[in-house]
Amino acid sequence: MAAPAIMTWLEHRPFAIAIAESTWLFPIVETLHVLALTVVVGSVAMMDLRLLGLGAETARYRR
Amino acid sequence: MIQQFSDWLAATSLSQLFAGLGWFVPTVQTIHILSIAVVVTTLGMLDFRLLRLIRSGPPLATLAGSFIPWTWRALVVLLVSGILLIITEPNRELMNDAFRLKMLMVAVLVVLTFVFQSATTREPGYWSASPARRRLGGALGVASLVLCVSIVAAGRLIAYL
Repeated sequence: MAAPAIMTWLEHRPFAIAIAESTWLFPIVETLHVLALTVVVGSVAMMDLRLLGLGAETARYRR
Repeated sequence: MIQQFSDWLAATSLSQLFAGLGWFVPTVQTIHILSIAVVVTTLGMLDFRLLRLIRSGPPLATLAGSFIPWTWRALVVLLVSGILLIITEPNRELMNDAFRLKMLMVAVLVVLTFVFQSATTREPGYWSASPARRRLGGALGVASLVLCVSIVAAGRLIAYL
């Protein structure tokens, strides 16, 4: 099955070709992605646990 | 020697059992990365405080008392899930330079975190007691942050080396 035109178009953009052809760009971008993901998951989890009353009692939040 | 151990491990029935389960590696990897999120955020928030990039919030010792136990719990989960991944694909990890570097950095980070925790528990105001202590805390914060980022990077690089 042929890929939708927009995906083919995206795949041929200069930045996409640069990432695909470079040895290190993909792992570097992936590492940044994972690091940012850990920050989002960790900080949201802290906030959610706190709201559930299970988190660290280090700060007050307004009811 | 490590190669021999790795080959032996790969031949064990446990390794073959895990390797035969298609869902096993992705599931364990997901648990592994969620635990990394806990370590990076708890240590990261303390590191930013040590570096005085964040100055608001509860006292550093209070924060450390709440966060560090979670760092240790997550590290135990990381150790167990990491060992399961090694059992499943010994050669992928044990023979990989990025993995070896990662283990070295994890060992250093564990020591630094332990030092930070002991000093903070012994003396709550330890890291702000003097300009020299503040500099020491800042250096510890930088080292901890650099290690966290490098450990995640090395973990990703295992797939590329």
